[in-house]
This record gives sequence, C-alpha cells and structure tokens, in this order.
Amino acid sequence: MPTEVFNWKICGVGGYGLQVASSMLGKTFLRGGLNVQTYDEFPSVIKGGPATSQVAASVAPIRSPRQAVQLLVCLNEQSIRDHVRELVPGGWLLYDPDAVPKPSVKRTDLTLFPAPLTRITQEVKAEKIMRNVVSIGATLGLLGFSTDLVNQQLRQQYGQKGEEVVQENLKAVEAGATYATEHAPAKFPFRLKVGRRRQRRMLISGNDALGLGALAAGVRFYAGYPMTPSTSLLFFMVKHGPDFGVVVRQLPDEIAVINAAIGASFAGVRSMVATSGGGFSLMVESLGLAAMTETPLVVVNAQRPGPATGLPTWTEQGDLRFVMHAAPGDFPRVVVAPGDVTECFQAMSLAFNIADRYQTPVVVLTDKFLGESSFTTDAMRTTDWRVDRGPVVTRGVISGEHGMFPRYADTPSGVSPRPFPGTPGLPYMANSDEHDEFGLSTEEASVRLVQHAKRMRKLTDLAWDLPEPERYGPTKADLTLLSWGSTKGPALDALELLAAEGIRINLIHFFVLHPFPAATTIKRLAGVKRLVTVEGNASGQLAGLIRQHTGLAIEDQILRYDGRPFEAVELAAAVRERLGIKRRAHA
Amino acid sequence: MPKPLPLTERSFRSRPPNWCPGCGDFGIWTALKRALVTLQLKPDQLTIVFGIGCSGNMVNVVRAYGFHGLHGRTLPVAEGIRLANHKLPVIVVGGDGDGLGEGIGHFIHAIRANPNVTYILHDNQVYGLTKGEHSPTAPKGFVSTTAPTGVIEEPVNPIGLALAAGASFVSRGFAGDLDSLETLLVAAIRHQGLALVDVLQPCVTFNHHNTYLWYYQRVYQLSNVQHDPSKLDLAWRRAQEPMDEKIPVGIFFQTKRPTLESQLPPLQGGRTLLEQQPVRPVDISAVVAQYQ
Ligand SMILES: Cc1ncc(C[n+]2csc(CCOP(=O)(O)OP(=O)(O)O)c2C)c(N)n1
Ligand code: SF4
Repeated sequence: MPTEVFNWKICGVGGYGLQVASSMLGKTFLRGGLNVQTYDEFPSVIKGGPATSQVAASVAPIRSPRQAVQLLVCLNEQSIRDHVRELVPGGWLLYDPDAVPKPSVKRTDLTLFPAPLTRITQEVKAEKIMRNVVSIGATLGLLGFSTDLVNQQLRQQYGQKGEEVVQENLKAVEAGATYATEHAPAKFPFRLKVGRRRQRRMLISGNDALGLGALAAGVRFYAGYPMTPSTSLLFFMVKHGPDFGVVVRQLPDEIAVINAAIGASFAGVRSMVATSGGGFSLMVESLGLAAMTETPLVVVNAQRPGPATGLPTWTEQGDLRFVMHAAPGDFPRVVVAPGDVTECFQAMSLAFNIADRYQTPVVVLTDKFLGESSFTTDAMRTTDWRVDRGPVVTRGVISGEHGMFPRYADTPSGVSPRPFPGTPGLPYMANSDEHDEFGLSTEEASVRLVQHAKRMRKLTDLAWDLPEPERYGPTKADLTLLSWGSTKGPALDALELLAAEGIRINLIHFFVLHPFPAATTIKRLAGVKRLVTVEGNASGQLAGLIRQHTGLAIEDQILRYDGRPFEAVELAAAVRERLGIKRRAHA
Repeated sequence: MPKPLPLTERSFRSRPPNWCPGCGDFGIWTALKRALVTLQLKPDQLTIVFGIGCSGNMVNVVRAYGFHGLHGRTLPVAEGIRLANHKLPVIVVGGDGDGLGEGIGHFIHAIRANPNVTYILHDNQVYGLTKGEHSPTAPKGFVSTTAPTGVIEEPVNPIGLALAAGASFVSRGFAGDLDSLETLLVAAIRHQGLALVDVLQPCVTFNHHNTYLWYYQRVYQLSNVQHDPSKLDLAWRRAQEPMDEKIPVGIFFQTKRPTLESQLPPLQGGRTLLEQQPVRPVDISAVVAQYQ
C-alpha cells in the first residue's frame, strides 16, 4: 500500500554525490525485493546550489515521488532549514555534526540523529565526498538491512573500476551501518520488509529505457547535442551504442543533428535524435523536410519548462501543441507520450516501426520527471517485438523519359516503396521542394494536389495502427481523471490512495496524442460522471485537444507548471475536495 | 539481358535545365557529368545532395540518387548519408548563400570532421534564386538589390576559411573553363576526405560585376605557377591574393587526414551501417542486467 512507503531524502548542494547515493540505495532496495522510485531536484549549475535526491521504497508498486519524508539526510545547514518540514511526524533527521554543529530545528516531533559522516570517512581513509556512501550505510543500519545487498550492488556498479574502489565503498557503507547500529538515539520507527530478490525486476530511468528500446529496435545512427533533460540519453548511447554497432555523434547544433539523422535514414538506417524544447525549436524546419522527403525519423523531445531557456533542470508538459504543429504546412506525423518507463521502452519499437511503415517523423514526448527519475519495472523484453522496415524495394521499374524510379508513386495508402540510394538501377530524387513521383520539382497544381493528398492520406491508416487511450481503475467511477505522458504515474498512485479509502475514481490515459484518437475518446467519455484533466502545463493543452476533436469542453482542469511533477497525495486531496469528501484521520 | 549502355554525359540527364541562358551553373553541371563519366561512376552508384538556390536546382537536371534538402543544410545530410553507407560516393552541390550564409557553421564543422564528401560551392556573390541579394562572398561595396549603397561587410573567403578549419582538400575552379573544372572535380571526388571546390560561377542576371570577361582577365591556373599544394603556407599566401587583381584556380592545398568514417568503430568491419541494419529485434539482455 502506498501508505507503507519509506521515503528517504538526501540533501546538500550539487557536487555532493547525492544522485550517486540515491541510485545506490535504490538498487539496494530493489535487490531487497522492494519497489523503488527515485527523484532528483538540482539547479542548473554543476557545483553548489541546493540539490536533493530521494528514494521511495515500498512493498506495493510506487510510481511517483512523495513529499512526505521518513528519513532526511542533510549534509549541510541550509538543507535542514529547507527540508525539515517535509518530515512526517516522528520522522528522523540524520545530519553531519561535523558540518552542522548546532542544527536549529524547531519541530519537537522529530528524532535528531547526529552521525559524524565526515569523521567516519576520515576513519576509513576515504575522501570527504564519500559521506554520501557512509549515509547509505547508516540508513541500512537503522533499517536493519544487511549490507550484503550493497556489496553485490557495489560490485555491479564499480566492478570495472577495480576491487579497490569496491572495497573503499564497502568500508564506508559498513562503517556507517555500524555507527548507526551502535549510536542510534532510539529504535528506528520505520521498518521495511525485505522480500526475496525478484529476478525479473529492474530500476531504470525513462531516458535509459528509451535508449534500451532504441537499441532493441535496431537503431543504427544516433545524433545529439547536449540539452537537459535529454542529455542522459546521449550519455546512454555513447556508453552502449558502440557495443551494438551504433554510430553515435555529438554534432555542433540541433540543426546538424536532425539533418544528419535524416541523411542517414534516407540512406537506409534506423536513425534517431533527442533534444529538449529549445533544441526541438531548431529542428522544426527539418521535421517538415523528413515529412516532405518521406524519410522515417524518430525524434525524442524531453520537455522542460519553457519558454526560451526556461527552467533547465525541471519538468513540464508544455510542448504538446508545439510538437504537434511545428514546421510549416500540413504533414502526417505521430506524437506519442510514454507514461512510464515500460512505455518508454515500448514506444521506441512503435516509433521506429511506424516511422518506417509510414515514412514520416514520429515524435516521442517525455519530460525531465519521467526521463531522469528511476522507476521499478519488470525486466524489459522484446518477446512480441518485430522490426518492420516498411515498403523497401531492391528492384523496380524505372519510367519517364529520363528513366528514373517513381519513388513517390501515388498509392492507395499514401506510402510508396523506397529504394535506398545505391540500389542498382533505381535513381530518384528526395526533394524538399514539391515534386512529382520521381522527386523532381514541380509547381503544377495537379501534381501538388496528388502528392500532398498522398502524404496526408497516410493519416487514415495511421489512425488504426496506433494504440488507443487506456482506462485504469473501475469502469464506473464517481470521477474520471484524464492525463497524458508522465502524469500517468502520480495519477495511478492517487487512484490507489483513494481506492484504499473506498473512493472510486478512474483514469483515462493518452499515450498517442497525434493523430488524436477522437473516436475512442468519444466512446470512453460517454456516460462519464465527472471529468477532470491533469496536465503539467498552464494552458490545458490536452483539454484543448479533446475539445477540438470531440466538442467536449472540460472546464475542470488541474494544471501544474512550477517545474515539479504532480504529487499523488496532493492529487488525491484535490479529488476528495471535488467530491466533497473529508479526509479520514491519518492512519 | 540487354547490354548496358556505355556511360556518357547523357546517362546523367533528367530534365532540361532552366537556368538563365549563360548562367555559370551550366558549366558546373557539364563538368560534373564529365567528371563522373571519367570516373565511371554510374547514376545509381552515388548520391548528390543539393542545397536550395539556383545551384541546388540542379536536382532537376541530373539523373542520379539525390537529396534536395533545406537551405543551408547540405553538409549534415551528406555526413549522415556517408555514415549510413560509406561505400556510396557523396557529392554536395550548393550556393554561396546556402553554404556560407545559413550553412557557415556546418561548413566549418564538416571540414573539422572530414567526411569523404566532395563539396561543390557555386560562388556567384549573390543569392540568385531570390533575385540578386548579395551573398557572403560579395566584396565590400558590392551593390545588390538589398545593398543599394554597397555591402558594408568584408566578404567571406571560402578558401581561407577552409584552410583555417583544417580542410584536407581546398580548391577553386571556374565555371567558364570546363576542362580544368572537370579535372579538378575528378581530383576532388578521388580525394579521401572533405574536398572543397569553390567554383567561380558568373550569375549573368544579377551580378554584372564578376562577369565571364572579368574572370577571364584575372583567372590563372595554380598548376602553371610555382605552387606546391602540399605546403600550407603557400596555400595561405595564394588564398590572400586580392580577387580584383589575379585569381588563382586549381588545388590550393591537399593533405592526408583520417576521414570521419575511418575513425568510427562500427564502420571498420568492412560492412556499412546499412549492411549491418538489424531486421529483427536486438538482444539487449546484457544491458538490462545492469539495471537489476
Ligand atoms: C530557411 C530559408 N530561408 C530563406 C530561403 C529563401 N532562399 C531560397 S534560395 C536563397 C538564396 C540562394 O542563394 P545561394 O545559396 O547563393 O544560391 P544561388 O541561387 O545563388 O545558386 C534563399 C535566401 C529558404 N528557402 N529557406
Ligand atoms: S539568376 Fe544567376 S545564378 Fe540563377 S540561374 Fe540566373 S544566372 Fe544563374
């Protein structure tokens, strides 16, 4: 049950190794058979500036970060001041007395545990930066967890760096654990039931899941230019791409990035790029180029709050309308927004197959929250996958007085077979200008009409070829939430919190945003009692789409655009309020 | 099986051109086709990437595999094609506005990466297709439709820029001298790495300053003077010669530099990326294990 969540949060400043710590602890919990969810907040600077990282562990599934913290680890004074209010009544504050000799904490319902992290690092002859690792040891000591789990985890994480590094970390963990067992001021009130390690579970971020999906789908060319929160996908590709025969290029700007990918795709290989809103802006004209030349392309846009540079390291869902409409003119495109890490993985198979089958761009829309937080899921498999390259020809009939291949021949589906350049005997031009069936430029109205209609016709089949919005929760409900993309996790957690109180609400979640699944939406919304959209932007972009395609105006919208993801507990409260239900006393 | 026709200039013709009569683009087009015949490169054995401009409109008069992309974006597309299929010769055709206005960043960075691409830059000092505005190579004081009192900026010197960026093949040709241009293009296409061919291209409609006659009076062949293209300092000196006096054409500089393609591990096994493209889902279990 989500109330049985143990939420651990480490706070300090950027450069303290907070994320390393939480990923280490997260993996340890995972190996202890628990469900884990990690979430980081950090400023857009490298060293200094307040930063936090948190790990939530639970026996039941957990899909979103919680504000209420059970154990808060503070490495500096400022972070105590900023975060002590997040502790639950009875929560514990673990701080480093070497860094904060006299913490000023006004709350009297907390237990303060001064653990001399700095001194312990000195005792085990480790760098001061290893305070993070000592704090993990202390946490495990308090929880009564065996440090064996960390041992395995350290071997996996640092094994390549040599036994020395593993031992150094291990010593720090063990020293922390021993200190906590011997010096804890009271019995630690929170218990986590360690289960058996479940073999088929993994803890992964959205960006890494996209990377895995791309590798599995056979991506061969990846180009990128660093932009948070897409950069960790570039790192993933740089790290793993070469082992899989992928050419990974960091190019000098996003225009070069997308054009190189279009070139590689035109020449026949599966190609993708990833960026955030600003970089996507630079790619806009080229998105139309991919559509006009009917070149398959997969573009990931990991959203962050805009406009302009915005809040670089925070989250938002503000680019939906932008990516749907970006680039001049009308052309077929697909926009999907994975709701969780499994959907990220699956989205890449879908994106590459759809891009190849319809020879047009597919945009995968994620955000900082989903892309850079980690979630527990079943190990990813490609069991029911296939690679569909769409209609590719190696033989064909040339025509016209010039003897070229009618690559853009008008077809009932709008998709025409393509040869890759270098195929014997089938020369053609891929042309950004309006063109005839051979790809030669034309301004003839009749040819324009044929070609434009041919491209747009792809949308007809596309609409049947994409997954429909899913309903979660009971069929009949007092209130229905509507969400898209990464909001799925917090919304599902809210559903569960409310279900535990006997409140019946459900969720309709959109994975495909464009072409908009109008018919299913109308069907799904028929007879629904009360509708509330939940999305991370200021203008209600999904609500607008629903109105545009169904005529239904949803006035009740929960919108968030402060850079933070939705919080399940707050969402649940918002639902209760709407249903006029008072919250039962805290159990 | 009918016997394949011998490769001639005609093999590369699609539609008739519609450049202004006398346009320098005719010369470049002809020289290119001749060079391809000389090299026995068939229309289906190469790809030409075209920019947007009068120059890029060559897309409609060449029979080959080709890609007519966006204004200024030829070089990244060319790099992408080379990486996907490094057995496919790639030639880029584009204007000076395309390559040195919108695309000047790509120009420098592509040279740095050194993919095996031949870059034919139609240098006519104007934006032809949009009706005669000055391009970045127009000399200071050049009067154009959008600079009625003369261009304020100093011109871009494509040769100097390419040398400074570390280009492995830097050359200049003249659209009014077909034979030399053909020879130059053959050398450029044979070169391993990015080969720049900056072609002086009279625009008879909008540039009444840099005319055929003006060029004939100034152009001289580097091969006819004491010039050693392996010497960077000599190339520098030639690149600085004021255009309104004497204009050297030919190979300024050529050197061996590893190509981009030769430095990417996935391309070293003798097979192109395209030949390695999986047709079934790839086994990722080794990476999955790292998240468990
Ligand atoms: C992004 C963009 N901006 C502007 C244009 C309009 N445009 C088309 S061709 C051209 C200039 C062409 O000049 P150049 O590259 O020198 O080629 P030329 O016509 O002289 O051969 C311009 C500005 C465009 N197509 N795309
Ligand atoms: S405008 Fe100039 S460059 Fe364009 S076709 Fe005419 S002469 Fe050639």
